Amino acid sequence: METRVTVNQTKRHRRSVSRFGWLALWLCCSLPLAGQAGQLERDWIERMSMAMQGLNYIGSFVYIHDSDVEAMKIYHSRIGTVEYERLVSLNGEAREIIRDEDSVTCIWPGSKSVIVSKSAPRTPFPKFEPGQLDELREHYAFEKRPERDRVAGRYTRVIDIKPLDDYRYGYRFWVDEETDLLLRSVMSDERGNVVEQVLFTDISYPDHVSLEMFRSSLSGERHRWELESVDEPMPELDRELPSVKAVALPAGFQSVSDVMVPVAGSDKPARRTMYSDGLASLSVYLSGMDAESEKWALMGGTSMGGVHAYGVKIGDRHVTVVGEVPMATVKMIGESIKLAEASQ
Amino acid sequence: MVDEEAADASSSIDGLLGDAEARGAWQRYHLVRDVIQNEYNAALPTNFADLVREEIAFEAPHTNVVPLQAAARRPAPAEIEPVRASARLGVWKPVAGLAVAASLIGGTFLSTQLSDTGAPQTQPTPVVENPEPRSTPSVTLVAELAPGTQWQLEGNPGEDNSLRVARLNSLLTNHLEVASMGKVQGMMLHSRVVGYDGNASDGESN
Repeated sequence: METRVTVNQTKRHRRSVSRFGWLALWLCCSLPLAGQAGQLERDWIERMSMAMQGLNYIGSFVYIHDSDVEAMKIYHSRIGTVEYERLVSLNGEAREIIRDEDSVTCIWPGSKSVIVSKSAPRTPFPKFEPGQLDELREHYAFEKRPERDRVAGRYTRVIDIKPLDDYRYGYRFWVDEETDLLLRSVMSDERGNVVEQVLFTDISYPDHVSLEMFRSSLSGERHRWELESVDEPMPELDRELPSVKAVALPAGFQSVSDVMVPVAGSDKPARRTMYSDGLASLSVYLSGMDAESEKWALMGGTSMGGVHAYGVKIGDRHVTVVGEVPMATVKMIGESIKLAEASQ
Repeated sequence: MVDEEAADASSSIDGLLGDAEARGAWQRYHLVRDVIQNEYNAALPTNFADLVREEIAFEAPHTNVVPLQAAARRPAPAEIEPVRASARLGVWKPVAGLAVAASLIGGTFLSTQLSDTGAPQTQPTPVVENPEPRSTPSVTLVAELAPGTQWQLEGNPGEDNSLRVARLNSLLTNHLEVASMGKVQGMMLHSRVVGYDGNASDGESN
């Protein structure tokens, strides 16, 4: 009996060793593959970003949202270290947006408005630290689809980025096989419904794009236009405004900045705390309330395409949450915010 | 007295003509003026900038252009006040339409603004203030603007939401400008703003 037990134990031990052996072999094989998969995802994102920011290209595309289709033309060039971009609406009012590393100029002829804003400082081509992408993979599933597709007459590879919860949107990218430029992008909600998409209808990659192309056009004529920096000091944190003490955030979202920002139409800046999970982001704007606030203060939720906002009054303060995330996300955050006492 | 003022003006103009940066600013202001005065659709000659320089001496101050932040460019308070008082809504609206314009960046973007500290947060999670300064866009030129974009706002029938929409667009513009850093969609993200603004000009509401 004892012997049989020993024999059985030996057999089980051998089977156990065998299983551990296979497990060890699987781990040896799968770990490098997992690392390689992470590297692939990092490469996809970085190559797409580098192409978008570093290539010369001129193309037409449509922006589809809800039931509307808008046709636009885009010019892009990098000359030296300076990135030039120009976006022109092809339908209706000849709206234009021109930007370089210092300023963003928006021209709305029909509404008689010209706006020049300071552009956010451009970072070099985005670089993901290994740990950052690992965190991203905890909340999104990356998948390169097997099929090829054609967009604007060019072959593309298709990449899916699916959220693993309902607090963020999913994306599908069609990327030019030769240049890595994003030629089609679809953003979808938690149920897979398309929220909005951008689709190139033609694209060219000239060796050189003249600076003339980045100047405002008037009836086809080139308009002399000089872009210059908009040097303005940034407001310092207003110590009279409390900070966000606590907030319910979806997993993966972290605070990335906390600054004072100007708000057009008001002499009083707002305090913006921005959160990001690496793909999606949202901002919490905090400002004071007075008798006039009823006119501008948002109470509850609102949306515009894939952008949602949620406003709530907290004591004598007003909080607005804005971001390219589902309504459930901005609502959860807006209703959970606790403010710290303002430092005097 | 008049001679002294003329001499000061002449000196200022001389300095302006020799300063490329100042010339650029003047061109920008002239474009603003053109748009405001409905002259924007007229084809301009290629030597537009030269013509602008020649006309600088005859131009009156643009009291309808109000830099909100740049103190150096801000007209005297006496000049600003009448504009803001008479067109308070107009100052808000800029954002409305344009607002977005600026940043333009909308929905899908890949941001590199990942925080490199801390594990994924649970709910609720205290947020540590991050004092790291980040540059933010600031509206420097503002003109009359049509009613805002298509925020779907609920409210009482007939309720005026223009200020609410204008502020939302201002906040969105600010958010998108920063959120777009590291984007993979680049300038295309700005199409959200352009498209929605176009609908607004048609008086539609989604």
